[in-house]
Amino acid sequence: MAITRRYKLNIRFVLTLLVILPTIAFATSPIVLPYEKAGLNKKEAAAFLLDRFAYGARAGDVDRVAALSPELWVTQQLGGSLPDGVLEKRLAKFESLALSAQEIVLTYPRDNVLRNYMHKEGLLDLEKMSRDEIREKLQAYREEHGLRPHRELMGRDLPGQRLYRALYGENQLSEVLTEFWFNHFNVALQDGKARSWILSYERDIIRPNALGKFRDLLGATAKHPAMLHYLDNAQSQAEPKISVDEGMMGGEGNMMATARPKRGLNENYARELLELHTLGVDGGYTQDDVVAVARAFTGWTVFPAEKKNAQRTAKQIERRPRGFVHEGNFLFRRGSHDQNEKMILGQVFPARGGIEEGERILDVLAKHPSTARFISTKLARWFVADDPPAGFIDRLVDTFEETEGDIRAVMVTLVQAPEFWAEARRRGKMKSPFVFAVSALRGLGADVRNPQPVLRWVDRMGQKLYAALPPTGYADQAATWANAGALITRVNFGLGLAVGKVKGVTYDASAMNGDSADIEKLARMYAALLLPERDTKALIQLVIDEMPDATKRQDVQALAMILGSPDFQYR
Amino acid sequence: MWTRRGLLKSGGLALFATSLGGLPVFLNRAAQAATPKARRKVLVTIFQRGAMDGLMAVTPMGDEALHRLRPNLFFRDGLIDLDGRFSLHPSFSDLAPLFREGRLAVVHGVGSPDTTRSHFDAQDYMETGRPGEKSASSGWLNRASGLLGHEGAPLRTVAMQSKLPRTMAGEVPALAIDDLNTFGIQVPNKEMARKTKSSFEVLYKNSRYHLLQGVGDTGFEALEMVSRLDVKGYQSAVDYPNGPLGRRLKQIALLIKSDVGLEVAFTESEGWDTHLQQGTKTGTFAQRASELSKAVAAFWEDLGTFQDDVVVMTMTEFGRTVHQNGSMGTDHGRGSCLFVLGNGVLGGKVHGEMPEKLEKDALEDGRDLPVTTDFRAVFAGVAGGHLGIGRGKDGVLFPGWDGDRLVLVK
Repeated sequence: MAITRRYKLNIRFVLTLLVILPTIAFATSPIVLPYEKAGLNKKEAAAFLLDRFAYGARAGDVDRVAALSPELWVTQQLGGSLPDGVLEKRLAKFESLALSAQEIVLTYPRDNVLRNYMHKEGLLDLEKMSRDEIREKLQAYREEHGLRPHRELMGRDLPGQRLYRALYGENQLSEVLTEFWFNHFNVALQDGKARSWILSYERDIIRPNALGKFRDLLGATAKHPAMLHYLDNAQSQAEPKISVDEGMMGGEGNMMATARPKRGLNENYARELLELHTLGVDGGYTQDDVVAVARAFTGWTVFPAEKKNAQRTAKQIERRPRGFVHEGNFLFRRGSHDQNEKMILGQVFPARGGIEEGERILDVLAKHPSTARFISTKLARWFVADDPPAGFIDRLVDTFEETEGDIRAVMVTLVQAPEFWAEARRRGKMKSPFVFAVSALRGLGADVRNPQPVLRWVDRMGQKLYAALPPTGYADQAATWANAGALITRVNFGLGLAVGKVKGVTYDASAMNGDSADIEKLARMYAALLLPERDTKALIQLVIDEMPDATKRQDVQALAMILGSPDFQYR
Repeated sequence: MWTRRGLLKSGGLALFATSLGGLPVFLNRAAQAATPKARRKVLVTIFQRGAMDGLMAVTPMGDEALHRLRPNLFFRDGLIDLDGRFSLHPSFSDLAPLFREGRLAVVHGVGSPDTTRSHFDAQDYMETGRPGEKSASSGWLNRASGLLGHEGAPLRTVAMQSKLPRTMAGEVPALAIDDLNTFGIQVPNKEMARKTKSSFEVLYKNSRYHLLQGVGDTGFEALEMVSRLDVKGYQSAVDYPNGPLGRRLKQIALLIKSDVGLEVAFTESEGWDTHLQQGTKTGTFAQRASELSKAVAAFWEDLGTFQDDVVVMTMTEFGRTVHQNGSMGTDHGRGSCLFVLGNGVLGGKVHGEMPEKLEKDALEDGRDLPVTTDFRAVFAGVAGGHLGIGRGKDGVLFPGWDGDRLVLVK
């Protein structure tokens, strides 16, 4: 027996090494997790990690992570490259995932865009035809031209893939950080022009950079059509006849005059870039800075997706290559760019800076100490506590600055900090609706065949995915989610799951409880499953004492009570 | 430790929730039943998120500077003259009769002393009623609820949406209800639903998660009350427009007419951030205005005899630039306007001050409509006047403010 066990251990060790060797190469030194000093054993540490660095433990996860060792698990998660066969099978039905960003926009046109186009081409008559006729014409046109209904992209693929990734992805930390960064660089589907680009935004630039360098993430968001449209920079232009001496040097004369934006200019992106993406609202910028940054980003726009426009633009570029910078779906138009000298955050940006001017501003912002603090504070809030201790944030800031915004490195500092592990007993982060729903489904090992009903529940709990309208995204504090109405909805979701009435969701209840009718056994089992390694003695006793109806299905009631319990609302 | 058995003993309805006065709530209710219940006043607030362009909502139509600075946004055709100087955007037409009847007041040039042009901050300041204060812990509507001077029902302070807004955060229990239709324990058998609710009540009462204890209390009591309403069968006196605002106002009307003790209500109208192609007579602004106007007008008519109890007040975090931007829209500004509707309101008038001509030197920072009335003066005037909160309490309602109320309610 001993021989086989050793053999098994060795094989597993070697295989793990092979998998993680590339990721070990990234880490400069092995990770040390001070959970023992925080009074936790290995399993408790594993359970806490699964709550914070993942969307909750599935059955057996705590044992697996403990056996692997929490350090190794964290290392793997920081690498973000574990094989994801199960997830990929699930994602296969979301056809848009296989298309490029441009193809998506062309293949899934918005209904009103398609309608107007067809009306213009004389293919239907918006004024004379009935709604049903128009719908039929649209559908026929789509079939003829290989197009898909817009709602398949926005209602099915986009939120569905996010749900599946959280539920079934092995690279959980990547998914958690993708959610974090998407929320930080928020775009919303309510924006008509941006919406068709959102899937690509998350897939092509947020996720790949989620554990990378902040500057890369910043630059990628600045150039992606989703952001360019959402914050209106795509149409921000310099007034063609700007007189140089009206530029922003300030000096003598009224600073107020320079505060007035020139015609053609749109300040929206510049403001949110400074306030929400980098420095933070108290980060030390002025209204003048906002205007000057807005001027610097004039000309940063979208390379047209639509074929005729794309061809026309390509010809323009051919004729005057020095007037443009074309990178995929991003286009810099020198002709729209405000070439005047600018003063931003006390630095001079000389005239005729071209696209490099904007790049340099992003460099300055990414390196700014306020940015390091702003980002570190947000990460601390998401992963550690609503009110993280100042000293702890300082250390994250140090790492951020020393590594020039290496997110992985900051996460290493975070997970190695005693302050992180001090939170394990408290479990003081309230789960957002999405995390609550996903953690419940993961705990139950649920097979979610149709993501839509679950997504509707999450919407009713107050968190419709991709629909945080303001650029701030969803706020990450308990007060955001803790209200009586949403709580009732969560309780109802738990009830629905327990009774098996949440559409599109199945799980094997009998495998879990072995058809036990022993209340105590049931309560213990569900508590161990959904709240592993947590202090659930009091809760279990309450479930036993307060079962609504002892004559009816007690397994269902026990499960519902655990899912709807205050404890399960926290991670 | 609270147990279900204890609850069942009490008769099942009320929890042993203690009120501010220290008496268990159910005793208070018994006491109140002895005296005829005074019908409470209701304040309904609508937050227009995104910064509504006050100058397009209520336009000084003779102002040539405005015309010059907004060549593609200024228009006269269809404007509804209010008082010879100001006109109402045609999409607000459903509110025009209310203005003429003297029930609707406009206050122009309203805004915050804090000059932030950040949506997030400005909304925060307007909701907490503490401009410039980042760490305000409560919202002004919550504080107002606490100053009403009498015992409150579980459904006293309600936001008709899925997330509780900042303005309702605070000591007084407040409820966010996304939809009355789905607000209940969803178990088909009524008896089982009641038992399930009781079980959860105990769970939450005994939790170490204090935040959820309070939330749970309010929630389960409110559930009880809503479960007695016939939400699905509610026949409104008029048709509300399609869309979230209409649906929410309809449910607020239902709560008011059901006499459940609602006193402070909140809802939102989104999408006012018209940086891009704001439109004129038609377009983005017009669509938002139309929804708001129709929904409020329908709500008012639906109230019927309850109108005397209700005041509706809109608000928005700031206004927009006097000039248009390069995308046929407007950027963030300062002063804007708001509407106050009620039978006792000093209506038929555009209150507040605006420069005679919107030339650069009359504008704040040379670009924005100046703030001539602090929003707190309006809020205190309306909430105080209508809900009966005395001036002496203004220091509690709006800490740090020592201005004068704008009298808008008779």
